[in-house]
Amino acid sequence: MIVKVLAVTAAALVGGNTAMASGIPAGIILSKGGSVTSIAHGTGIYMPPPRHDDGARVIFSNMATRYTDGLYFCCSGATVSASGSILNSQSWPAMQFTASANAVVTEFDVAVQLVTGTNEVDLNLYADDNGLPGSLLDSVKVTGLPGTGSCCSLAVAKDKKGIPVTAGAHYWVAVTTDASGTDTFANWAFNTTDQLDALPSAVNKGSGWVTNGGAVPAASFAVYGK
Amino acid sequence: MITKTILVLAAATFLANSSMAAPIDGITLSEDGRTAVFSESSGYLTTPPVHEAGTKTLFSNIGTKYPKGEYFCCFGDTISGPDSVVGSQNWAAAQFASADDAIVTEIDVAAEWAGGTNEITINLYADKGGVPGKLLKTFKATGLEGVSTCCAFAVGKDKTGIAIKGGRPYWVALTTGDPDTFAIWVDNSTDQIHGLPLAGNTGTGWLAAGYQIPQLSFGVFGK
Repeated sequence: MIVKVLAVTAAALVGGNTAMASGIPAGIILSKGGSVTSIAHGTGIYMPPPRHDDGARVIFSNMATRYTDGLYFCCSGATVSASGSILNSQSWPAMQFTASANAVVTEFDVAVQLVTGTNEVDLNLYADDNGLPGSLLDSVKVTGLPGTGSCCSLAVAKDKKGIPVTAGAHYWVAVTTDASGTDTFANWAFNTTDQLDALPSAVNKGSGWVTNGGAVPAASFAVYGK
Repeated sequence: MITKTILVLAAATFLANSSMAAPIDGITLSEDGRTAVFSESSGYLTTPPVHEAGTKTLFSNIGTKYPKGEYFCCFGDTISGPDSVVGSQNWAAAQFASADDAIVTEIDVAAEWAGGTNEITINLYADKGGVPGKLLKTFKATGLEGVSTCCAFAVGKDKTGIAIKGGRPYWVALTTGDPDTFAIWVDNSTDQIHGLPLAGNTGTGWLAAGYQIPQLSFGVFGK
């Protein structure tokens, strides 16, 4: 399958493997291979992050809560696409995290932004299976994503009952598309708090989850619970 | 007095040397060539500069609250000479203002080297009608860290200092001295909402280039 990538005059020299894709919005930049989606400039549009339930504690987070206007990087992230999107290929990214304590997950927040297509994604929590997403523990459909280049809204998955997680065990948060969003093209924005330490990542391009190595920087997300 | 300073650890040196064989591997440029994106960070830590005792911050968007994220590793503006692999001159300048009258003694810029001669020039300009005007100081910085690392800076220091007026706009610009240099001035990690005035020089002088969101990452320090 051909991944269509934004071509650029200079990048034809520089990127080497870029090719023009029809329908890609102006300003959108795809990396070689299409795994990273960026926008040349932020929009400056601010949308506040969600409020957490009273007593919610952090199980994992790489969000920059000490900079309220920079919760995550506005303008570059992991590509999320359905097979019918303008990229013509499926790309579902997943990031691994380790539970910091025995807890019950009641919320996970993901910095995902719409590029084009149907404005919805599914946020998923998986158990780990030998370094890849395994059993699906929870899945929540989210609509009304903010546009790419903005900050600091988050796609939120809440589960009042909660999903038990074990301290030290690995889990996965994944952003996927489904039958009601067959043309969705979004990006899962990178975090701004750690440009050095990798999180294991995986990707599903239509034939199951495969490892995608250590993501540096990792996509931005947080897991909360009680 | 001009002090040439740049922080490079062994890891960055290794990265730079490795990149030399394929100096732009992993970099994608925007259509106009002015924005550069790297697919991922190298994960190499290079330490930020230590400031002189008593130095105060005149302007900074550096993410000091997250030592592993002082800036965003992997996205920024192209800084290039006309004979670089990019094929054109691209110089960028970001406007800032100090709240009070001050003496600038240090400018830190989050610049990463991508190819060609590993050297850039840090410039401090007065403002003239919304673009860089009179050149107040120039610092040459060599040995930039390789692309997609964090968290070293290209540093210009001047012990005597340059006087600036509070509330007035000034410009920090990155330019090339050698025509084959290709570097990236990466974006800040602390503010994705508020822009700074940007100017560009592609060989015909400084021209206003609107507001840059997110801002390019830099700090201006002094007394």
